[in-house]
Amino acid sequence: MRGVLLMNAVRMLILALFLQSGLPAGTASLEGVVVKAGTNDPIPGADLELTMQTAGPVAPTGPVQPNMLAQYSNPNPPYTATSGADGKFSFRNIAGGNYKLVAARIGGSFTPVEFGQRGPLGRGVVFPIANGEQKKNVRLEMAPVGLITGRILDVDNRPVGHAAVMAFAPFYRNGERIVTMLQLVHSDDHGEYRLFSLTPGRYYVAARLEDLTRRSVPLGFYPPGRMLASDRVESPVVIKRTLPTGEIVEETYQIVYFGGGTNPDLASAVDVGAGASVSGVDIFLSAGKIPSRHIRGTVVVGASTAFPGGTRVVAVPQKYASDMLLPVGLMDSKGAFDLAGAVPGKYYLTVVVPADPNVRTTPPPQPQFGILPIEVGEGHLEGISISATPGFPVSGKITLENRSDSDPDLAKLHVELTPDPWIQGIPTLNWNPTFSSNGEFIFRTVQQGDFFPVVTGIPANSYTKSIRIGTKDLMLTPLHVDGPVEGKIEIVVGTDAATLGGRVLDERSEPSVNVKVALVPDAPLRRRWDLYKSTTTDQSGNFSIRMVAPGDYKVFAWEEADDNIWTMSDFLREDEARGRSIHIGSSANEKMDIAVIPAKRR
Amino acid sequence: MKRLLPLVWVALSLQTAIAQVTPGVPLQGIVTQMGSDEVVWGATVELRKEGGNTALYGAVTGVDGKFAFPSVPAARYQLVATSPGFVPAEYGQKRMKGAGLPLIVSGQAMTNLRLEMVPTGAISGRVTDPYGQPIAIADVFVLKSSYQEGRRILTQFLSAKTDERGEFRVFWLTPGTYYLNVVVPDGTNQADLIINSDNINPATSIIGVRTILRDVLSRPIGTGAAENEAHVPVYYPSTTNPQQARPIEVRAGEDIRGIYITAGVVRTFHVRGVVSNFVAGAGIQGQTRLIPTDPAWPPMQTPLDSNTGKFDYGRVVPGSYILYVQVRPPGATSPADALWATMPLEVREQDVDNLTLVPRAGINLTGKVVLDGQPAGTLASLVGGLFLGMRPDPLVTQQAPSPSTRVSPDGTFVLAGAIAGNYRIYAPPLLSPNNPALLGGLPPSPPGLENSYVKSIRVGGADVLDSGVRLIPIEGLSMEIVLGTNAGSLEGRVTRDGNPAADVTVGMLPNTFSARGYRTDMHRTILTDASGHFQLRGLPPGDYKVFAWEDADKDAIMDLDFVRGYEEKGTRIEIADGEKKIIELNVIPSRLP
Repeated sequence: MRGVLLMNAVRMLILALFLQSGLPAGTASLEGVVVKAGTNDPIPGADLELTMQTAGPVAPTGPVQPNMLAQYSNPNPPYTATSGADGKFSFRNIAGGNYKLVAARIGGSFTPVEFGQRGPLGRGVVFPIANGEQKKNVRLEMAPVGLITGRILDVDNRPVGHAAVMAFAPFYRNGERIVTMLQLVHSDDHGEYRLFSLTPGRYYVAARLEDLTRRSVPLGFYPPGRMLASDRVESPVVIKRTLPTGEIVEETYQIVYFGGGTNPDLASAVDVGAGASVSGVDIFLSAGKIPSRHIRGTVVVGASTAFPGGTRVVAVPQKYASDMLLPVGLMDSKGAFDLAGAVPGKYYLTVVVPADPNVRTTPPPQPQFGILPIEVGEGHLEGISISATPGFPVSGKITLENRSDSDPDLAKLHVELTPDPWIQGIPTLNWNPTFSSNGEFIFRTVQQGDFFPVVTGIPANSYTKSIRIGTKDLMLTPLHVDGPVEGKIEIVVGTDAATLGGRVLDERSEPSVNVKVALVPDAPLRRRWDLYKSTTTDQSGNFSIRMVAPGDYKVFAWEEADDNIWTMSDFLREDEARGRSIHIGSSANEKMDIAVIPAKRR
Repeated sequence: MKRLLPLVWVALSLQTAIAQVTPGVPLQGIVTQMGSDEVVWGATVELRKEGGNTALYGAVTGVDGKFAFPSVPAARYQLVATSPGFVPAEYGQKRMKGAGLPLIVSGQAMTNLRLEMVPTGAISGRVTDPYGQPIAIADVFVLKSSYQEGRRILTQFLSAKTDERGEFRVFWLTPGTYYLNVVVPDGTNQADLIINSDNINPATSIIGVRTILRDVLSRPIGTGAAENEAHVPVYYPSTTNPQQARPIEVRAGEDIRGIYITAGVVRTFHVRGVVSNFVAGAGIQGQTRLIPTDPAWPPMQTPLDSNTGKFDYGRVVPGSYILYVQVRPPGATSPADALWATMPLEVREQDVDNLTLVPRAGINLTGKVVLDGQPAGTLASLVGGLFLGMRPDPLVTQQAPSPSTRVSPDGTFVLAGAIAGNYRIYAPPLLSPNNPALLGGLPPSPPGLENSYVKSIRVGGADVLDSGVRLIPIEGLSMEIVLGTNAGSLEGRVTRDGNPAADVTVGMLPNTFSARGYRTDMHRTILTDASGHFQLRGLPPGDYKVFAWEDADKDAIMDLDFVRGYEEKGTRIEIADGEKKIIELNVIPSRLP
């Protein structure tokens, strides 16, 4: 009797502890082991988290921008455990529900793992645990990280110390393949570098001269599996060299890719296997040495004659890269600027002239923005005139199809203007928007440039049906602003969105778990990035895609595919015949089974 | 390659043009390592105008270490060599970083010029946890000691990060004495890598860095510190107390290996409290700061809960702190409208709970600046724009709230919103708050005040120049700052065995012990020139002690332990208002072997 009481007391205590930490107590349990991938070697000391999933993560819709790649955190606190010396772990007294299981180990030797993931960086699958279930033999395989080493050398094989060495990997966005930086380290005084804690995969390696006149520089490395994407923009290193004759030569160093010189498209891939070490990835910085040019001119500011000293004029390369060198110069009190360190190529010249703080008017004065596409050739670019303006009003109206202008959902809709191209380094100002509850909106001071309007806050079963200004389709071509904008943007949000559900089966007609399913619009709408939808299959191979615009599509399912790689026409071409065509009708609830495209073995 | 041709052609024709208009003589020389015949290959050698910074002519040494300028017009130049892995060198230098000699080019060719460069050193090692496991992505800082108000502080000089083996390498270290510490980040914030501590170019900029991190676990897993643990900076060889850090002597070209450091965690605690009379409302903003009295530790900051006025710091490392609370009522437009509360705090073996702070309005200290001997008002415009500031005394950190202002053209000022407590007043560049060397030099004196000094600072009738001011919330507190306009100067010559001693450190400080390390305006350092001469201007009148050291750091005068070791070798002098004193000094020999 006393024993029972004690047991009850312990149970109460456990319950109290769980209640305190906000975790529901239950009767189910889960046991398993963490091992090194491809072996039975146990991994002790791995931190595990078992998190109840109350709702699936919501995939972003519309054109995907790098700043929208952030992950979707879960509000539920996790149950936690640590693997023992034998790699084994257990979770007890857990409540029934749908769960996600993740393990990571400190020390930087292993890539984190999610239960049911495909590939070392794949996302896991949500699995159910019933009340009272004793789930056993869960096996988590952690991939050991890889390593790339080499030397950074200049002319005459002289080692370069404090060179920035970067590991890149591609990601895909709106039909473009973009390499993004996943690690940045510095070489030592022997020119040697170590790119470590790399998740197994394919990398490109590049190096550039660091500006040694800076006190400090940010590096980029995080525990394995943490860094998804990174980019940075900074001013180029301009080396002023005086010749014995007194003549001054200016040179700069461009980024040099392993195997590719300064051309990223020619770079050699470095495949890093699990636990592998790739050495001898040497890069010669001298391949990037080039005489640098100046960009000189004047900023013209409409009505104002006051030029705040110290305003920065920046030349931004027109082609986005995740490591960009931006020639920067300061504007003097007469508006003149002189930028050093430019190389042949296309740039956007940009300037933000801040509002004069001494002028007190209503409304207050606005900062003024100027942007000018320029091309630097063999010589210096002289006599450039760039005009800065406080921006121009752009107005419009959103209509919810078949709903009145007083519909409460209409008040929740907002419009964002996404710069096209979207390049870090081009400043964006406050465009002073106002949204009315009847769907009317105005941006009072839109800076010069090209923009795609994007509707946010769309209610369930709806989708952006059309965005027009006059006869121009702003879902295909951007809004161009370089002066007062004629007409109003008309946005229609369709309320007859459809749902597509189904099941993915493998060659043996078994359900394909945790595979990617993509809905791809048929030609001629292949460049309507907002129409692309994707999801992954659940534990039973089922999938569901909501808020689909009615139309003609093809559905694909891949065992292995990078996110959004299906927006690439050459990728799609190869598998085109394996997609299933479907016409999705107004407010339809379509169901289809499709065959998975097996992973291509390298 | 083809594309470059026109440019090369332009360069060649320019070269010809310049050669025609500036006839001169050829210069040739060699760059070697100091004290040896080993040559330095690939060094940049520049001829600069004497006292200038930009190169007039430049060359690069070949594999034989030699350089040549074909045609240099007659003039006085500075000849400088730079190369990664070496300390920059100047022609005529007697020691590393010492003063050089002008290179006088007359009508004759010079063929045997020699520059000697000192190779830099490196420190490498490994960081592990107490179980011997390597710690990756830890920051390893090489520190230099300097002096702040007579207290040794360690400042970050260069840094490295550990790799997955826990290994690090800090290189290009100018030979000297260093300290080392390891900081293991517990969150995802990353410290920048320090690559250069002098010759900073402000024109270069990093415009933006963005990083998207993938969620893995709900808590940071980088270093294994639990929720109630934190890594604290560990100084080589194995201490959390910077005063017990062991120096590492780096000699020229030395590669010091095998520096092993174990970085563990300490138990941390919460500090919780509430602001009394807190009225929740729209627009109310409350901020708190927890500032460690040890400047080596980072300050913490957390907002007040806008509904309850409560605050909660997690992960507070045991130690001494000062807690500041600032509440900005709705509609507050100036920082002076803020309400403040402050209290000292000791965090020991347990959480600090139930603190109650009562914010009060800040104290507004009004005052005027007058010029000595001038009726108030006249010449007042000279002091208009002079910067005035105050900071808590003793100085815990630059992060503590410190009012500052500029003097109005009529000489009046208001230092607004100070919290009750002890303060020092400063008026840079005449009276700076700190060791000027730490601030990277001082701004130039305002026009008309070049020969001025702070003569007195009176609050409520008492002179607080030497003691600091204790501010209490009473009405009508006012301050009068008197500037002397006739500063003194000290001129002299240093000899060694009767011969002029060049490149010697002359330092002076107050003779009164209580003013040492405190009256920064009375601490001065200068190097003697080639003929052993020196001159110090703008000296406040007073009782001084002067030293001429063969071998001393440039901020040695702030190192009171160092000065104490030479006390009897100093020369006492008194300088009166406007006095121009001239002295002869004998060099104090170096104690280094």
